[in-house]
Amino acid sequence: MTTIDLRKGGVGGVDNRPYHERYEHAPHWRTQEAEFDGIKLGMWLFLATEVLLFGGMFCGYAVFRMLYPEAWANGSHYLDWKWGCLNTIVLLVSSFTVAMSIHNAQKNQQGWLKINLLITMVCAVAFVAIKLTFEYTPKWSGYFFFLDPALHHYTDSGKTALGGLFHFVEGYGGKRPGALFSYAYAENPYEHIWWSVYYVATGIHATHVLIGVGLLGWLYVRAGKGHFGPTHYTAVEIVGLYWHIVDMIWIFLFPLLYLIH
Amino acid sequence: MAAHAHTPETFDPSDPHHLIAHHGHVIIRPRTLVAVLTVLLVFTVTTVAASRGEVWFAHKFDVEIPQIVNVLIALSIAVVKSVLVAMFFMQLKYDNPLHSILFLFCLFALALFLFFAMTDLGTRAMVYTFKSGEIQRGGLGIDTQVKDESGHVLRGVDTGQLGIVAWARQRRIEEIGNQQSQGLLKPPLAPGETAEERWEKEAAAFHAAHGVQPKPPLTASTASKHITPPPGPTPDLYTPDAMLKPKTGEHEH
Repeated sequence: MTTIDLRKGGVGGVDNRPYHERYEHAPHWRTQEAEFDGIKLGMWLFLATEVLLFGGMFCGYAVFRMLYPEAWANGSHYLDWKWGCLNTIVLLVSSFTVAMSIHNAQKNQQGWLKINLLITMVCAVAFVAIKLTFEYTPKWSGYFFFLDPALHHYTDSGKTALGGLFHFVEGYGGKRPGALFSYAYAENPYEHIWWSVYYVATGIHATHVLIGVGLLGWLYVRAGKGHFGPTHYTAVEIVGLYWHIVDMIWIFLFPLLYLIH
Repeated sequence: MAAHAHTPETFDPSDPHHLIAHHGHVIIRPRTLVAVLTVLLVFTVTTVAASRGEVWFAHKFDVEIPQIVNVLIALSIAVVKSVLVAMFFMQLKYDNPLHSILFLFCLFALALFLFFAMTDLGTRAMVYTFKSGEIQRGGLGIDTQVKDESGHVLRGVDTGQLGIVAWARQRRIEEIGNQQSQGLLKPPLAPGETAEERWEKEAAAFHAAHGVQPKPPLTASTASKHITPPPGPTPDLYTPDAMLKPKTGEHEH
């Protein structure tokens, strides 16, 4: 084309526009729009495989719940629905902030874009932290976080770890999956199967949350460099899609694990 | 700003009068997103309330509510929440319908998977009880050891012939016995009390602390309705002709 675009510096000038305005498309795409649509479709295909990944785990849950219903009812009693509810709220808020960050990119609100990405990351880290500190560690090893309200129900053995950060309650721990099971006061002979399903489903989900933290961090760094704007925010869009699938999985996991009796 | 198609501020020098209509990228209003978040949070509270309410209802009126009610309520609320997340946060409502079709097909594939797996397992005992047997065997965690070629145990514990849950219980009872014989038990066993009884007291204390009423131990009548068939070949299933003993009076010619 022989049009002279003064915004791009004219003939022989320097293109001083920010990255997101300069970006056109990768060479194998014909237009910017085709690139966006193609990438988004590809992401949806990947999300379909993610749903099937967790679907397999839900099938395992369903099969074992059908075979050992008392173990499932028992197992659910060990889980505190309050932590599950808190984690659900944290993830829903993070879903909102990641959707807002896409909106910010579309409106070229660079500051808010970074803030919303940061809030999403903080929520994700909080989710994993709550899960590890208040759910996994006490059940696996018997060590309660010193601020855990449930600690008051049990006699503290006095043994602590990490300089008083964690307190050991004798006999509580050992709720581990399958062959690693060693909890002495289980009520049902098949309880180790419940714990297997619990740890696998929530563990793989938590791994996905951690992967999401990495992706969001990558986005945050790129946002700082001005890569995203109204005409180019594909990466924000697809990481947002990934994050919403992770949230959706938790929306199903929470009632199925925590709210049976 | 309306949540309809809103073309971004791009200037295409090959089409300066914007005669070619491009599919705009939809910008959703923050108000819509906040509304969806609020509804999702309300549904979260609803699902927890429904679950606790069901427990309260069953306790107050002393009725037994079948498990399916709990599952249906929880899953239907979860489905509504997921639809909201998909349609608004994931923008399926404003997107190319191909994405919706793709996602729905994936859910259909998942439904097919679950349907066949569950109906197969769920109906195995429907006509012939012996057919449900094989699934019931195992699952107790009796043989959990991983050995290498020479027979060295790499991982796992030797539970004897106990299930792993029963093994953990036995180990605690032995531990109490050992501590008592070494004089390390605090507080000590009362005279006449055995390690077993001490274990039962500790178990009751743990279950009370967690708000669980200890259930009576499973017996044949109180156990799950699945029936474990006796071992060995199924009687009267098939007897070859050669093994049939002639019945009295049968061979009268």
